[in-house]
Amino acid sequence: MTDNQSPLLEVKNLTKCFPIGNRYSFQRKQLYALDDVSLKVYKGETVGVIGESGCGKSTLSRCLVSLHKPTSGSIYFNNKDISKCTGKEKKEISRKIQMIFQDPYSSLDPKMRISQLVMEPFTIHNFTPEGQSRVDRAIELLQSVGLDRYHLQRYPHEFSGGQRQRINIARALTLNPEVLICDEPVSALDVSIQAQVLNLLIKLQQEFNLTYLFISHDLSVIRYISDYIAVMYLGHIVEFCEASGIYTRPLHPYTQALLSSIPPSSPFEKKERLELKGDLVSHIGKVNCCPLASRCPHCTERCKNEKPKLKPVDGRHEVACFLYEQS
Amino acid sequence: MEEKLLEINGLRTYFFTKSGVAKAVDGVSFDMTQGETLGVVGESGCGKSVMSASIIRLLASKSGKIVDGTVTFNGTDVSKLSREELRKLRGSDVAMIFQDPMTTLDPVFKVSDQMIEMLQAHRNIDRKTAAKECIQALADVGIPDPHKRFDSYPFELSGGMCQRVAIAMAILARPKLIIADEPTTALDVTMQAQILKLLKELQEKYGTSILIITHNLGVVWQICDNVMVMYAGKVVEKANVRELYSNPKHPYTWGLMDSMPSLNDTPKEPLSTIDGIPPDLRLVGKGCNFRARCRYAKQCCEDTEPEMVEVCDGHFVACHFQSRTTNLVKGEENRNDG
Repeated sequence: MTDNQSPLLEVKNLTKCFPIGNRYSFQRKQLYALDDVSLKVYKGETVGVIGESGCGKSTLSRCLVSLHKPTSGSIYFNNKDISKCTGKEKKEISRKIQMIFQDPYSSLDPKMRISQLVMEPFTIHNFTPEGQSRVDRAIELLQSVGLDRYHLQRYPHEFSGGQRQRINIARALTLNPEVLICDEPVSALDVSIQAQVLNLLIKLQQEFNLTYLFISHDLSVIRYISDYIAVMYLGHIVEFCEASGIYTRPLHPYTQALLSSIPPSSPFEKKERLELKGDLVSHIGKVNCCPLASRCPHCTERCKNEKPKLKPVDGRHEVACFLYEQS
Repeated sequence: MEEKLLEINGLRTYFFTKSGVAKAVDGVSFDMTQGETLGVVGESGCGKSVMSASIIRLLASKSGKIVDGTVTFNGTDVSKLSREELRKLRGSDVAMIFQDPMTTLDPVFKVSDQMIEMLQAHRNIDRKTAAKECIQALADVGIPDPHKRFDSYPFELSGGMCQRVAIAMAILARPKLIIADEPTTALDVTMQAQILKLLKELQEKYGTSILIITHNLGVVWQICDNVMVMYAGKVVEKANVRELYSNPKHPYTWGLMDSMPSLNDTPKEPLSTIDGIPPDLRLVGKGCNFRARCRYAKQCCEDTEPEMVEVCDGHFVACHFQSRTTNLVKGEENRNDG
């Protein structure tokens, strides 16, 4: 959006390691789930994060809502370092950043009624909405996600997957958040229901002026909802670009391969497939080469010995690949 | 006329539950020829998986029963086979690939043991020759370093690898028909593209027929010859893929195709959706199952069930307003009177 404005959410050199192997061994190996990730999200925009499973998308989202403690690096919300905040300040920030999880079946407590579920955040944060009672606010939220007041007394098992995801969205909205982190919110839903939830998310964004970080592995969903797209591979962001640009001018070989593997949109379309050989390599231990080096068709000596950094090529279009460094 | 490999006629599979009879598959008829790829699409709960399990009588639940209809595979009536004969049929003539690659394989046995066991169950073969064939099959499905993988446990392999092992097991006995129940749903796009390409290659090599069940229309466009759209236990439309893509007839098919976000859509324009949710399969009665979500529904949809009619060559639709003479146009008001 505007460049002189400071970003609402900024991730700087974020690294998250998970120790693996024997708890008592001297040299515990580290799995680098996120390796030096930097990302800026401005107010009101939607940044989509895409990548294969195991690339660190979910770890990133969990770090942002402080479900994981970053190993190094920092996350700024409104220019305030989240990890340095404590007590009241921390609670205030967690109120502003809310999350919607992937599986609508396991993210709602089966023993709680919808009224309890939607009003639980009020109790936790001791928050009363201005000018209305908590119940009224809950009803209003349910209505804005397409449910009604008579649903309040029901239990989660009485709802379908799409409706449960709506309840999750209502729950995330109770505290008037500024940022919503959506971790694959539609991947567990059917196509016809998926479209309903996507439409709802867009409607709510305009209504409440929300900022989204939207995580998905479905390229068409990401393309549909995002303003900017970050492509992740093995804990790295390899390309960051405007949503339309990534489809018309993908630069990183991984992005190109990802795009070419989308199923065709009609039976008449014959696609040239750019194939990446082999499986994902393991990300145990620090890697000092380009993460794609073993699968990349353009791999050179330099890629094997040095890690490319995310560098701007054109405005906010950034790519981490040596191929584009000369120009 | 080509030889029919699989013929299904009026198949009905019901689940008898405490709260009523769920008609999971309600009168499905279709046939497949040798070397054909048929796609079955529909939302979850529309009976796709139950239908495919009914073909080789793999209904796990005691309450699920095939109440009516015949399944003829290669000239034999599957419903008349004994348990022993069924065992022979499954795995050798008809192979199945399931959705979740990580749970298809038994976690406590090595890949080698599982593959050899399956080969020895069908053929009188010694372990050594069996192992050789298995490794060859693993190489066929594009697993790098098949010798090493042959000797590993399923948890040592990634999801895509496990699915390749499952496919390798499926093709070991050179089946005539592979039933693939959402084979790529649990996988990433890059892996999905590789697996689909692999299935297509194997089909060309061995002339196998593939029945692929999916909810992803893109997958259908990519590999299928013919496609069948299911809704609430019934087939609502059946056609050649190209015909279905360029000339879809059933309102549900329209909704399904429109609700998929496509790369060519303008971002953030509201997607067209199908309002409401699929009906409870225990409560569906007479009439068209889709009527509650259909904007073109009239009184006749409430009263009588639409029959499958051929609107043009090989294109069948079950809608009151679609036939050779009457025509309902998408987006226009329904002027046909019920």
